[in-house]
This record gives sequence, structure tokens and C-alpha cells, in this order.
Amino acid sequence: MTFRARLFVAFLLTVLLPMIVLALFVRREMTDRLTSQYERRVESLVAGIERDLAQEGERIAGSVVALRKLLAEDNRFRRAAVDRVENERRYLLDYAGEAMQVAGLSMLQIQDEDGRILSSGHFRNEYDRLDPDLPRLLASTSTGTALVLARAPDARFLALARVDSIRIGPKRFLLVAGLRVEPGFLTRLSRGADLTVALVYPGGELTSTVEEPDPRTDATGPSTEIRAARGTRGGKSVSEEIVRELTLPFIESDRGEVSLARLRVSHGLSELSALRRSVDRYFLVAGLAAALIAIVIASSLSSRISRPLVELADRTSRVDLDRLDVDFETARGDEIGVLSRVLSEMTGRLRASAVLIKDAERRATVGELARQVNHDVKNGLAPIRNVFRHLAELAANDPRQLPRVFQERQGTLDSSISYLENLASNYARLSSRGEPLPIDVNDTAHRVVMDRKGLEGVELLTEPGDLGGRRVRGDPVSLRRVLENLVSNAMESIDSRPGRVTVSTVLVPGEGDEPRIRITVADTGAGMSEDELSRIFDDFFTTKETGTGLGLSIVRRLVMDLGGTIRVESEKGKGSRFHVDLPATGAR
Amino acid sequence: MLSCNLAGTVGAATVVVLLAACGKPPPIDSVPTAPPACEILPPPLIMPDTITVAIFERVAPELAPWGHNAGEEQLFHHLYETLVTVDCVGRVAGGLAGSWRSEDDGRRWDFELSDDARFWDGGRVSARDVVESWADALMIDTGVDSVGVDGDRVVRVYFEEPQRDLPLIISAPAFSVAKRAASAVWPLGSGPYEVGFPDEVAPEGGPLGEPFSGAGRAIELRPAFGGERPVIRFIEASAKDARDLLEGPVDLLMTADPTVIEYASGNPRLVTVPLPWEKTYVLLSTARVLELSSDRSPAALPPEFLAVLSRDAVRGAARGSHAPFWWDDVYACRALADSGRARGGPRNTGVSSDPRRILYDADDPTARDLAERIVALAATDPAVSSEAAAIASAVPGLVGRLPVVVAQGVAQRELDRSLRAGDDLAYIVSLPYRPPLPCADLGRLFDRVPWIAGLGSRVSSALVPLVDTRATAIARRDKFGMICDWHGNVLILGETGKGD
Repeated sequence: MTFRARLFVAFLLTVLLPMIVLALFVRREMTDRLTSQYERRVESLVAGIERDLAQEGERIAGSVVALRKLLAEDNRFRRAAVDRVENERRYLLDYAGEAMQVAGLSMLQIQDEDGRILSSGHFRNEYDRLDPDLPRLLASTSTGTALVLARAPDARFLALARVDSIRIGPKRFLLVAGLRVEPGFLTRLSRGADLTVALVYPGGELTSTVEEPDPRTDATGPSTEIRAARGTRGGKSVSEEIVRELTLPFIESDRGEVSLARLRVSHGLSELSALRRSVDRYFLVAGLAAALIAIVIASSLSSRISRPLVELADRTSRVDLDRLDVDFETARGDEIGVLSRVLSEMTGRLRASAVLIKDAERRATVGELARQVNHDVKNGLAPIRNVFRHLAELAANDPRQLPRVFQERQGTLDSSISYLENLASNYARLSSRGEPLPIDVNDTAHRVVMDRKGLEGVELLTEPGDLGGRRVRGDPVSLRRVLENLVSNAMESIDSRPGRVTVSTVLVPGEGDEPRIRITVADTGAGMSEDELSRIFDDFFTTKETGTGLGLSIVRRLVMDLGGTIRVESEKGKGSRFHVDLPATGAR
Repeated sequence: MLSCNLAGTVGAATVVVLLAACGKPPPIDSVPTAPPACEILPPPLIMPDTITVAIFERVAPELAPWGHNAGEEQLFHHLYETLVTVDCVGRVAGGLAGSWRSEDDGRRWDFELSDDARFWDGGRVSARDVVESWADALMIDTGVDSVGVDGDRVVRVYFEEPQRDLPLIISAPAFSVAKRAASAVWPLGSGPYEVGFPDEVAPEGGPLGEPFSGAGRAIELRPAFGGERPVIRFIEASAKDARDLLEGPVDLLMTADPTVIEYASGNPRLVTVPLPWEKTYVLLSTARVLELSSDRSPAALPPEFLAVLSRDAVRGAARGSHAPFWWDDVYACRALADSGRARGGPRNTGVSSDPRRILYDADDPTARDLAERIVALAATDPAVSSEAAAIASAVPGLVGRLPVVVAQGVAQRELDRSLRAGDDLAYIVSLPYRPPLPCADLGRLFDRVPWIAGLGSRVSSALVPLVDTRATAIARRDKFGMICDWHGNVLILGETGKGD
């Protein structure tokens, strides 16, 4: 992870973590408090509804009591209902309708003991219909008040009803009275926009949010229907709403039984959800702002801190014994400036040491070289001395054998002389000669390759790159010697035919604005091991049986004299690649 | 619904007896008189100067002389005359015509105008005036084929069908005679009264110096031709409580509201007089028609059922309908029977997805009462209710099926639309009790309910008669006299005892 990334993550964590914790805490606290408040409201409303229902029941009861009193004193009713006077029949039929309106009721039917309807206020022409179950079931409820589905000419309607009776003369009459239960009734109970009161009864549901029903509905169902039932919650708070229920008796006169209707009071949590969403939104905005700020600060800090460090690291990576001219000068006064100056001093010391090392290396090389020359010359002279001793002995002892023995030993002399000549040539390559000249690298490589063509089974290729007219300034002979040596080594490394040796050039970026020319000699030969790679440029190290071991050390020396560097990439069994980077001069 | 007052009771009872005989074709009487039996209120010895009549509809003078609502008919009846008049028992008397005769086997009737047939301005009523007055009436199906004149005094009327007896349609308000003047609001008439402000209707507000409940415009009628009659002031009253009007200065109003009638019956200053039967309510059932089309014979409703229905279910003056009905003999309307008016069956065929409603005119309380009673019986077990059993026999599929039938009051336009298509299970509609020309009304009924037209002779079975209804005249006692004619229109009697 980069320094910039670490900075960014650190800032984010520093700002966002506390913010997230705060948001979670605020949300939870808000939820808990509001939920408690809503629950209290619902509980309070349920209690209020219970009182209201009780009051409505009492109101109905009060109306019925008043009606009983009027009935008892009404002679026309007595004549019609008890005495069955025909002239008063219409009075009887109309009685319940007028009484219902006066009493403020929505439902009123007067029945005889058999349950026959004598007069109906909500359905005037329903007279003579038998309905014994309704008053019986109403009387069987514990509170005397129950919900019923009353029939009207155009549809059924839900009513809260009670039953009472009156005895007039020898006859007993039943009074079933009630108030219509409609969405407006429930809305009045709800007393608030957030609170919904729903009445769920067998066959339908009524809520305080439903509009007045269309009277042209299916007569089998209640006229106050629709809305999918929400399902019993059992008094628990759920994610969408807080629900409390109370039950009411419901008369199913068609089935002759009393069941239960549920009055469900619910408080929507939409307000709470809206609050939560607002809080989330604000915290999200704050989080994004914090992230943005973190990005900006991290970028700014990294620019001020990590970039110089990266630059320092880059410069430091270029430091090499062959490249000690890297500049660490800086005007910064901070820790990076201190580090830069330390590195600069270190580089200076390295440069001094490199000079000493080079001198020592040179001296060592010269010493080694002298020892090696001594060794090689002695090796070359030894056979010659031996031959001359043999010939001297023969000249002293048996001169007649001299021509034969000279004939026989002449090859040895030739071989030793050749060896000494070859040695002399190799040693001559150790020192450059000639003034520095602009060298066309592509041309030199081409010539070297052309001169070396003809080796059977080895393909020798050149891939001259676009050098933009740039050249290398130095001894052309040295460059040629370098290429000859590398090409020769490459071809000799290909022990299994066929193989390929490629000499390519390319312009690569160098330090500052000056590019460098890279000459690559690649082969598909045997490759080198790690150990061999580490010693490849050592003097007198060779992997060949007849090698002097000076080839690559000489190449390295020549490359350094040309102001360049050399490195090698190799893999055992696959081949090697020698890269020579030389400073390029401007285009012609 | 009879008045408690003895005189009124006797008078009303007389009228009831007489009206019970209604329905028979009247004999031709060439010497017309106004029989006292049609005097529903005898005139007092001393007439007041002004009589105030409340009407509950707005009067449009531009429609005169042919009234299109009860108020207009009442008012126009005092202003405009017909060639002949027919009293409550069907006796014909001369109006503007002094004599008449039939020609061409009754296809043509000639009416000769009497010498004293004059308009209010004194101008003689000519045959051409008569023909021009009838322009609107001739555009509807009245049975009159064409009219012509023979000179200045004879009006020739050609009928589509031969008329053995004088066609009563000629006495209908549609055939009243009036003469339009270009600048006048009211056309000239020849009746016993003329409009007090011929060029305008009296301004808004009560003309009696103090406002009274529900008062609108006042239209004053003054005796024409210098007659010694009281002024009649017609007040356009709103639909508010008519009892308030009777407590005020109103002397006469017509109503079917049982509450008002009951109030008047108990008021010694008022007299209630039932008017001739006006409407017959019938039940039209798509299911019954489909049964008839399949040559099955659903039962009729028994008279006792109808009697109880009229007594208990209807809150106005009603009686159970009984035969004969004017639509019984459809073949008497030859052109109608031959017209091949069958136009397909009703859209409601009784499948489960079809609506199960009994529709009625939402503005008709009697229709509502009948529909609701039938709905109540539809939900009753026929095994325990004879009424439910009777209705179940008369209307197949009505009782004991789900979904339960409901009653629905709708606007007239919606009712007509549904009737025409036969969309619903059943309908409660009102028909004229005694139309002047039954064949014309039958034709109109076929246009309104095309899915009964193809039943041929069984058309009469498609209509299930329920109750007849009528209005009641409530008048201030001993203030004026009234007579009624064949069409149910009342005429306030002046001092001479005739509205001539």
C-alpha cells in the first residue's frame, strides 16, 4: 500500500468511524424514543376508544329507554301493534322510521316476540320479515352491545346495536336499535392523522381511511368493505406500524351465532421512517464530505511527503559504482532535505571510494595481469626451451640426429609461437587507442555481424533501431572490439544447433534529458547459472576450455571507457542477453 | 285519507264511487252539460275576491297552451279551451265547438266552432286558429293523422284509425286552442280566465304584502269577458313543507304527500278531495319476459297481495291495481301489432354475473316504496310468507337466489337507459292510469322498453300491475267550488257555476 493510500485510509477512519458510531447511536435513540411515544399514543387511543364505544352503547341504550317510554304512552302504537287496528297499521309501519330519526339512530326495528318485524326504520318496507336470531344473539352478549350487519334496501351496513324490550298490554316487543359504523365513525375514533382504526369482521374490513362506500356494491358483502386485512399483530410493534387490538362481539344472524370483530388501532411509523431517512441522508452527506476532504488532504500531504521520497528513492536506485554522478542536491530544510544531503554526501564518498577501488582494481588487475602474463609467457616459452635443450644435447652428442629431431619438434615450436602471438593480441586489446569520435552504432553492429556470418547452424541477425541520428562518442575500435567479443561469445554459447544471435539497438531514456543508446546482444545459447552470472565480468574467469577469461572483463573495461554500462540477463538453458548502454550524443 | 268533515266525506265518497266507474268509453252527447257529479267541491254562496293556488312546478308561458307539468296543466286549464270537454265520467260536452259529426266510418271528424267562440280580445276563434294551435300536438303520436279546415268555422280531423266514438284525445290539454301574438309572453286564450299581466309574469316575492314560506313567482288570472269570478293567483311554491302554505294564504294545492294529506284531514278549515286515479305502477322484470318468450306463464300477483301492498308499502294514496288495463288488448292497436316491433330480448338473462337490482326513479317516492317492499320479500322465505311466495311466482329468480336483490333509485336518464337495454333484473315504472289514446301510449312504452315489444299478445303479461295512485286536492273549506274532468284537471268554479 502506498504512503498516499495509507494517509487516505487513516484520514477516512479517523473521521468516518466516529461519525458512523454517532449516526447509529442517534438513530437508535430516536427510534426508541419515538416508538415509545407512539406506543403510548396507541395505548391511550385504545383506552379512549373503549370509552367511546361504551358511551355509544350507552347512548343507544338511552335512546331506546326514551323510546320505550314513548311507546308505552303511545295509544296509536298500542292500537296498531296490540289491538291490531287496521286503520293504524300505517302508523305502525312508519313509526320506527320517524322514531329512529328523532332519536338520532341509524337502525331501529321493532319486533314481536316471534321475531317478526313490525316496523323498521332503516328498511321501512321490511315489515313482517322474521328475524328472531338478531335480538336473541344481541341479548346473549355480555355487554349487550354488538356489531351487526343490518339490511337496507340498497345494501347492508355495519351498525353498533343493542336490544331492549317493552311489554305493552299482554304483548312483549323487542327493540333493536343501533348506530351506523362507517369510515367517518372510525375516523372520529382515531382522532389523528397518524392513527388508523380498522375494524375487521367476518366478511370484511372497514378502516378510518376508506372513503364513503359506493352503495351499488355486491349485496352479499358489507357496503363498507375493501382494503386487504392487515393481519392480527397481537399488540406488537412491527417494522411498519404499532398495533393494538380490542375485540367486539359480532352478530352473524345469517349463521345464528356470535363471533368476534377486531378493532385494530395502528400507528404508522412513516414519520419515524422519514426521520431515519433524513438522518441517514445527512450523515451520508457528511460522510461523503469527510471522504472528499480526506482525499484532498491525503493527496496534498502525499504530494508534499511521498513524492520527494519517491524521487529520492528513484535517484538512489540509480546509484551504482559506474553511476555515481546522481545529484541529491536540495534546498529543503525538512527531514527529506536532511536525507537528501546525507545521500549526497554518501554518494560523494562513494565516488571517492570508487576511484580508489578503480585504481586498486586497476593495480590489482595489472598485478594479476602481470602474474598472468608471466604465467602465460612461461607457458608459451617452456615448450620452446625444451626443444632448444633437446637440440643442444643432440648438437653436442649426436649432431647427425639434429635434422630429424628438428623436423619432429618443429610443430611444437610453431604451436608455442602461435600461442605467444595470440596472447600478445589479447593483451593489446586491454588498452584503447585513438581519439573519441562519433560512432554510428547501427553501422558498427552491421559490420560486425557481416564479418561474423557464415557460422553453420547459427542465425545471426541485426535489428537496428531508430536512434534519431544519435551516435556514441568514443573509440570506434573499442566499440567494435566490444561487439565482436559479445557476438563471438554469443555464438560460442550456442552449442546445440540451430540457434540465433540477435544484435539490436534502441534509444532509451537516460539521466536528465540525454538519452542513451542500448546495444543488446541476445543469444539462444546455453545460458548461465547464477554463480556464473556473478563472476562473468571477473578477469580471467572463463567457462571455455581454451578461453583466457579476459574477454568480458575487457569488454567491461572498454564499455566503461566509452562512458557506458553493461549488464547481462541470462537463464540457464535458454540463453543470455547482454545490454550495453552508451551515452548518446545529439542528432547529426 | 278522507276528510273528517261530513260534507266533504259525502262529496268525496260520491266522487270515489263515480271515479270507480272510470275506464269506460264515453257516449257521444250532442247536448253537452256539466253534470254536478263532477263537482268535487260545491261552490259556496259567497265567493272571495281572490283565490290563491299553490303549484310546485315552474310555469313556462312559452309552452302554453299545452302544460308539461301538473302546475302548468292546472293553470293553463283556466286559460285555454279545447273543442270539446269530457267530464270526470266521460261525458262529452261542447267547448269551443258547438257541434261535431263523424265521416268516413269514423276516420274523419268535423267540428263546427260555436258562434261565441272568441278570444279574450273579442276576436273570433277561427278554424285556422285551431289548426295552428295544434302544431305541437300533431308532432307526437296521438292517433291524429292530419287536420284541415272547411271554411272558417269547421275543423276537420283525420284519424289513423277509425273512431266509432268521439276520440277523447281532442279534449286533452295538448289540443287546447291559443293564438300567439308576436310580442306577447302569453298566447291569447278563450278560457274563462286571462292572465292579469299578459306581457310579463309578476315579479318575484309574495304578492300579498308579506313573504311566506317557499313562495316564488305569482301569476294572476282575472276573469275574462267581464265575468263575475274571483281572481285566481297561482303561486309557484318551492318543494318546502306544503303545510306551511296551507297555514298561510294558500287556498288550494294538489299533493300526494301523505303527511300533508293527514294534516289537512285533521284540520277543520280544510277539505281533502281525492282526485281521479292518475298513475298505475307496474313491475317490469327481464326474467319474467324471458319466461314469457319461452311460452311459460309466470303467475300474476293476486289481488289480496296488491291490496296489502297498496295499503302498507305505499305511503301515499294508493290502491291495488286491478283489471282491465288499457294495455290488455294490444291487438286493438292494429298498426302496433302489425308493426313487428320486436327488437331483441333484454340484456339481463339472469346469469350470475348480471346485476340483481330493481331500479326506480329516484324522484318517485311511490316507486321507491314498491321497490323496497319487493326487495324485502325477495329476502324472505316463501315457505313462511305468502307475500314472498306470490312475488316468487310472479317474478322468476327474484326470491331465494344470491346475490340478494337490492333496490336502487337512479336518475330518470339512467333509468331510461337501463330500461331500453334491459340491463337490470326488474324495474318499477309508472304508466298513465287512463291515457287518452292507449295505442299511442303503448307505442311509447315499446319505444321505451323494446324487449317487450316482441311478445305479441303476451305483452300485457309482461307488465305486472302493482298499485294505482292519485293526488289529493286540499282546499280551504267553503271558499270556492271545483270540478274535475276526464283528464284529472280541476277547474275552480266561479259564481255562475261554470268555467265557460
